[in-house]
Amino acid sequence: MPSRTKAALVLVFGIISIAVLVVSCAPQAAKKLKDPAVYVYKPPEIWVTHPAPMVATEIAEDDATSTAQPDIFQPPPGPTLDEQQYLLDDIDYLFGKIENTLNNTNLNP
Amino acid sequence: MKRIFSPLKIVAALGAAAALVALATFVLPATPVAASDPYLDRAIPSEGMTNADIEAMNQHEITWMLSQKKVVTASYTIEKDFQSLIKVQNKRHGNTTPLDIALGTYDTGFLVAQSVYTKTAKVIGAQWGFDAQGHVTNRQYALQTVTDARAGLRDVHYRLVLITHNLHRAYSDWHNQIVN
Repeated sequence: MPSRTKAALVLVFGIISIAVLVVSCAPQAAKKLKDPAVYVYKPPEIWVTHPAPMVATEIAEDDATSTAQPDIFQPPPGPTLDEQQYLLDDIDYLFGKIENTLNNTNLNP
Repeated sequence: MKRIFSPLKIVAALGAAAALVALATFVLPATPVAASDPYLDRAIPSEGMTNADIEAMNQHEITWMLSQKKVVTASYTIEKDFQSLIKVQNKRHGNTTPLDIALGTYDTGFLVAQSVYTKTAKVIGAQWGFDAQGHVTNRQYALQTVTDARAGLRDVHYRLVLITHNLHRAYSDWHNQIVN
């Protein structure tokens, strides 16, 4: 094969290779990320109208004997343990805060 | 020549003198601490301090005063907490006598500390001898301000340390008693 033909083949092969490389690296429109679409859902506005009742609705009489009245929970009289525990925790916290501040005070300005 | 003092008498006299000195150290009152307490020193250090030193000391005292205000506020809150705790314990018929006594002593000391703090805050707030930017305008007055402020802040500090320590100790004893 003559050298000119070889050179021409090499040139063509090189051009094809570069073209394939460029096409493969270029961003493809089909694979581009799409902007996130925001859809705001609006419920349909439906106004239901009905005429005012002309006749009073009858309420069934309460049958006290049919249902037993539940026992109402009665908290024990006096302060609860939670209140005392809250005070104890707060006192501990304040003692720590005060003593920490006093201990870290520089007395020699 | 007849010897007036025999060696035995001299040794006995020296021993007695040593015993008297040792006894005196236990019996005679010690020098009051406050008199030689350098922390409550109100002497103005006129020499060895530049105006920049005085200004830095003034800024430190302002910061100290603000920090001390937070301690005073927390001390006030803890006093209210103790009052509530005593009420709760009274409703439970618990023993609150140690807390009552400790809180009474605490209240008395805290009132004095608050009074000293207010006076000291006025001294610092007046900024006598300083301009609005904290620069020394009159050296003598500025020295007087920082010295009085330091003594006042230290006084409040020690009072707060003392009353807090005593109240905390009484509280811990009481708490251990009700837990055990």
